[in-house]
Amino acid sequence: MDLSRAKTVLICTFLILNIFLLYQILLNERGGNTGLFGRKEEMSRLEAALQEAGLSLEVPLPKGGVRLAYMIVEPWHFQLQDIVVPLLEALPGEKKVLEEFNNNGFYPSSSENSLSVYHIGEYQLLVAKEGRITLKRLGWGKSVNSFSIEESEQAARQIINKVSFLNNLIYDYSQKYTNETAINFRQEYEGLPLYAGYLQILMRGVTPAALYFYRLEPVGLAEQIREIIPPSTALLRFTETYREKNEKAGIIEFSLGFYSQEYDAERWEIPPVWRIRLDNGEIYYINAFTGILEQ
Amino acid sequence: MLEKLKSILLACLILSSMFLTYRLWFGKPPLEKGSSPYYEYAYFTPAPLLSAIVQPSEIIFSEGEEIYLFYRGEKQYVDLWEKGLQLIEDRLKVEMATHTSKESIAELLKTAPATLVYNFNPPVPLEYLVTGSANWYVNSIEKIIFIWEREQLDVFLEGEDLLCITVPDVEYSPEDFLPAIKKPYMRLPSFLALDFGNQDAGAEPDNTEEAFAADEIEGEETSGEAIEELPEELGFLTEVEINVASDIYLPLEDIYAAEVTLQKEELQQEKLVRAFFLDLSMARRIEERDGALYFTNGEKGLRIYPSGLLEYTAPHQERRQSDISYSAALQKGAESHALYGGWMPDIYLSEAEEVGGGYRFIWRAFLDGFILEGGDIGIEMLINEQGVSFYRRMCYVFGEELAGRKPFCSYKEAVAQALLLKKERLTKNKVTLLSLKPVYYFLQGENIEKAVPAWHIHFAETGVIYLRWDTLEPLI
Repeated sequence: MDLSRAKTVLICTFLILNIFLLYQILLNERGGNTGLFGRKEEMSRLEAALQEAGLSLEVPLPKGGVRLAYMIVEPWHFQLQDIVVPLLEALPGEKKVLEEFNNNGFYPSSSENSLSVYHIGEYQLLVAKEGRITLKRLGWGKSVNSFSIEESEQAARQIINKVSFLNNLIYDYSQKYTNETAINFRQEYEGLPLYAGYLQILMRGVTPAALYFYRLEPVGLAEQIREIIPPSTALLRFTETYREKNEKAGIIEFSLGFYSQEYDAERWEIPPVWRIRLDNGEIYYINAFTGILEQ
Repeated sequence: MLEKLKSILLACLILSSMFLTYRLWFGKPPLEKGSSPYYEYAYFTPAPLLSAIVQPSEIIFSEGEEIYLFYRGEKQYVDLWEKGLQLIEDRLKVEMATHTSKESIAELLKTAPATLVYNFNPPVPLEYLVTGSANWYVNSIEKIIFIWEREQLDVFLEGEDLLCITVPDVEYSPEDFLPAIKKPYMRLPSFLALDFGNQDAGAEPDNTEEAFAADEIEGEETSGEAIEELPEELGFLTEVEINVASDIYLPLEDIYAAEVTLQKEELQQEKLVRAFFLDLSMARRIEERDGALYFTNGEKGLRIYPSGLLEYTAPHQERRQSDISYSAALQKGAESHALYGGWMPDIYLSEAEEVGGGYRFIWRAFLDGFILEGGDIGIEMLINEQGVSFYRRMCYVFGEELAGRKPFCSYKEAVAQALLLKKERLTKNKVTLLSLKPVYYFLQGENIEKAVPAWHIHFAETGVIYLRWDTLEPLI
């Protein structure tokens, strides 16, 4: 074989090899993995930790290597009337309550430091100082026929589509209880999930039994952008906390968003979090900067 | 030419395949490459010396029937404590200590020509005062008593045990110790009868043990001006018997004081946040509606109120409890205090209490021997093996006197006024006086914050009441 042909063969071989290597690298990066060497070690550590905590991972971990900043938010200012009237209008068959409400005015039936309670027809409205609103239907005359989750979801979507301040919420997930189904929606800012802003509609069949609503006004992202901790690290930190519970559960969602508890404040910063949702209905938020479980 | 190009291409492909293999094997370098961040604690003030962490609550010098007292915040107190500490550090050999009984010291106190007592409340770990003593005795000391005999000085260390150390060839005399300016004090008798009609009965000072034991008070002139005629509304006091529960000392001479301005302590906010969170970027900022600023990392929180009150909580530290010794807690607390705002010159440790597996410490400010009380004033800390789980700080700097000094109303008038104000709470003819002392009371006006001299009167039946020093109006 002459040298020229040998070179050609070698060039072709190395070209194929490089293409294969490149493909593997891209595949790994898309999956959020950092390298064969570290990944194997990390994955075995993670598996052991999950097993020890009684957890099973039922979803793939999202990719890491993301840079984020705190999200700056302000409370959503509202007039109570502007909330209640559209809600009552949207609720099926509540025209009579709405009339009564419009005629009798709007006065709290009791008020404590942090919570005001109103009664509107069969509904009880609770307004917390931080801005959290709860609307509960108190009277239930007859038992409810059984409906599927999809039917309840459909009915809930119809309600929020009728209310202007709700229709920009994003569907999050649903949870089935014995008599009710919780349909959860969340806020979003520039494509980033904002778990701190939410609407939960508790449906009895296709009729809403309660609404839990809290909304924030995102101002923007803070200037300082930093790399967040990888999902595997967040999961490891979570297993350390969950281990103390000594209960078995499956992780059915692992996602990135923004979350903090509700504050009675003018303006605050919300950290990025890894949200871990379990099959028993529990939700945990791991601060994606510090790895601390957000209380 | 073509062959040359082929060679170059082949070389490039070999090199790139090596690089790609490396990348695939070890992964890409982290986004933020570099060494892990190095954090340094930014202390507001240096941590104090061990001997400065707990200082005496009062110093009592007795010579015959004369009693002189020195309180925190007084110049004489500072001098006397420095001298006492010097003597302890220089001459006290703990290894030579012998155990003794409390009865024997009581006998000695009766006959001793001069005694000097350093009372520690809260107690001080012996190792803070005498180096190497931890190997010998671990007890905390509540009292250090110096008793001068002719050629020697007996030093008693009183805690759970009572230790005696004799210092031979002592060159310190009581006179060397005592400051030039000293105020004579009296001790209140165990029963105080507010018989205003008869100045000689009931309320006289009592400095002798015999008189104290007999509860018969005769003869001596009181320092307080007795009320000449008993006002009608005070008539009920003739039947009230006041039981004095503890040793209460009051100056024999008039006490002069004036209102003093207070200035809020100003702490650099950024430095403060860094002290609690180390990395500023880890603490997110929350502007609360009441004007307070709240910093949290999700695990612990620091709230700075517009009033200047600072409150830090770390609930997870509280949950993880493990025992810590009193001595270690004090040292750790003192260091944390230096970090979380620093030590101020007029601040003294005034309370220590065991809570769960840790300790609760309270520091308060003193001026001219008077403690500053009222409101949220002072510093409170909860500490355990894991660290500080709670810290509350509201400190003021003493400013200038607002007007000329005026004398305190007599203690008898103050006690009578306190009983009159709390008359409805008195169910029996007997009350128990737990404490009576001149203090400064923190008062917040519209434009000014000031310390008002006041009588602090604490009856077991009525709780604490503060009365203005000049008018005896209640302070709320």
